[in-house]
Amino acid sequence: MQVFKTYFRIIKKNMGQISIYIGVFLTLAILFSFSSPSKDLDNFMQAKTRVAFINEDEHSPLIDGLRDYLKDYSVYVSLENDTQKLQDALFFRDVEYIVKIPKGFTADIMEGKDAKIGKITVSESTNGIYTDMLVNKYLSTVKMYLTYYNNITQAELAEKAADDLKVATHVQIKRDENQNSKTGDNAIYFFNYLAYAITSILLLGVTSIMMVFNNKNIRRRTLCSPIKNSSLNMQIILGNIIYAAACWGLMMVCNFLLFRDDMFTLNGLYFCINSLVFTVMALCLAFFAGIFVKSSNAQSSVTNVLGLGLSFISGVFVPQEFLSKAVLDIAKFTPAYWYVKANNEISNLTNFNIENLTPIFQYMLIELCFGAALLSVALVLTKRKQMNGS
Amino acid sequence: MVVSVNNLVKRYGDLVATDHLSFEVKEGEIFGLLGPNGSGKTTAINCILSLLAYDKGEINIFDKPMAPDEYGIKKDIGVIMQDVAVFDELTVYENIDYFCGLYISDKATRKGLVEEAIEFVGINDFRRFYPKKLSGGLLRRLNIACGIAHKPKLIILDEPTVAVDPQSRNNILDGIKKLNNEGATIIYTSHYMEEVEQLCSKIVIMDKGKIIAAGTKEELMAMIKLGERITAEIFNLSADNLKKIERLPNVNSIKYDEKNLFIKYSKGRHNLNTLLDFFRDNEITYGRVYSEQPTLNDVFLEITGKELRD
Repeated sequence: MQVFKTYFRIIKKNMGQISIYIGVFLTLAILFSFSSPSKDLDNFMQAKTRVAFINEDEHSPLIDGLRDYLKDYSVYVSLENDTQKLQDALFFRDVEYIVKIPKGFTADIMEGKDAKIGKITVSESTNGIYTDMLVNKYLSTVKMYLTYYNNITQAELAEKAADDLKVATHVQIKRDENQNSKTGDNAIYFFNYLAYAITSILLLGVTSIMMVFNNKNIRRRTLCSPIKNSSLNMQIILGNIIYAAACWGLMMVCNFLLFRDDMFTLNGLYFCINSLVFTVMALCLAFFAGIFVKSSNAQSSVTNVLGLGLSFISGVFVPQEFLSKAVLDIAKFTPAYWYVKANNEISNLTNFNIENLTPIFQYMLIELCFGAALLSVALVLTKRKQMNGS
Repeated sequence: MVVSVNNLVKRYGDLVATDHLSFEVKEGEIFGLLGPNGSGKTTAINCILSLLAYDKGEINIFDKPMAPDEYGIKKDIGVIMQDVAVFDELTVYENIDYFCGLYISDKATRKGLVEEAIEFVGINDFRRFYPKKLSGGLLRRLNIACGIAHKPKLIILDEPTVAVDPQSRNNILDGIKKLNNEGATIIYTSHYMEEVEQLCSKIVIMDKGKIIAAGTKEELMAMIKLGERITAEIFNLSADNLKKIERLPNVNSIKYDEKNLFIKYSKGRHNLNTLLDFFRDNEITYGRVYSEQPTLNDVFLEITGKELRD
């Protein structure tokens, strides 16, 4: 086990540098997880739409009723009925929605004709859609009373519609403290960030060691000795496994210290399992990269490109739901995407039945497949290099 | 036979690095492979060690065919490469221990061997030093210690004295002789003819991948027409006397630069006596006079028409 022992002598010699890496990434992971926006919503605040109400018809109780109804959900902005000025107001976002009551609207409604209210709105505005719904709701209520009440006056119609629309359902949001539905908002950010941290730490550590053992002179000198290629590779791989396990263990210790309450749950357990699976994959990736890295400059480049690149497109820094479909389609070819996806699933788990767990295990399996593929290619390349004597 | 190479051919594209190379190394020999840079010495060594796949030929070590997975053969070989192969992250002691540990698994035995190797190359005072703190000569000595610590039967040294100061070079050459005296068979490659002349009991001279001459030092000298060279410090030598000297027995060629007279002889005896007698008889005043025997460079020059150091 001479190579294995030497592996750790080299680690010991590089411990200062490796400790700095680990310290920096760990600090970033903690800061990242605590500075992330919380999904924990305790209250809602109603937002009001800026609406211009243009009435080209005569004043009527029916139109006043609509204006009063919308008043509860909107802020009225007074505008002149001039097409150019109305368009400018929309363009500069002075208003988001313009209600335009056409001439003869009240009469048409009362006669049961198909009356329409004009509208101009900011394209794809959520508030505009909401105001649409309010106007439609008012008109539907009015039409309902007109259909079923004969000879109803405008004042009665407006009053009944207003009474109906005032009815609200009282909803109480109650949080079950035992439910895991919000398991570790900070913990999930920590675990997602761990994909970047563990990839970078392992890439830096493993490639540092591999650069030493893959040094052409050392490699050739070792090949002259009676040590078998397989034994040499196995000892290096074993060293890498222990190094990776130590890094993962350190991360988990910090995690348990920071998010103790979240971790002693089943969700916490699955987070840990997923991170371990990802660590195995990251180790294979680092072993693979170690074959090509020959200098410190190349090492930094590879670490940044692989560590940051994979994390950016896979939803480590930005939640996957905010990433475009094209980016996510590309990210599917990276293990970090499946790791984050599994974390998201674990975070939402409340019922730990096989049906809910199956996709999580499938994602973990995909991560392992990436690792197995990288390791296989790395071993083939190593063997080929040894046979070429380079 | 410790090493036997038969018709070894190794090509790099159109370049033939070794061209039907054949030689044998007997037990207890210091076998020298001499040739200019690019003559194929290192390629031959790499093929012998199975570090390079070759196109044709047979290589046997300890009468067994050599192959990359012949670990039984490898355990009796010590290798000192042209480029120093040590870990910058390990101390002198740890480096020797690592390479010795690839051959010897028993810790106690290894400890003794590592101590012996340190003592042998004279780097005891530097055992806790990291390689980057060592001078070029000490680094070479460490490289040698890493190659010989396990007491191999066959030691292959590929240009071990490149870029080494004279003191370290002498130390290394003395060490190689000592290893040979202790029973190891040595293969030594170099482009320094003085080293090969000084060390080797059998010499193979290579050029462009081929063996151009082989034998003991004396056998190689006997192959060429050139005998000794005499240089005499003489001022004002007349043209008449120069013609007379040219006609002396065995004189091959002469050259005079108004200060020194250079005479090359073909084989023959008593050339110096004859020359001194001529000076006395013709009342020629002379200063320093010295005679040099032909070198391996002369052998190489006569066979290839170029200097060995080219």
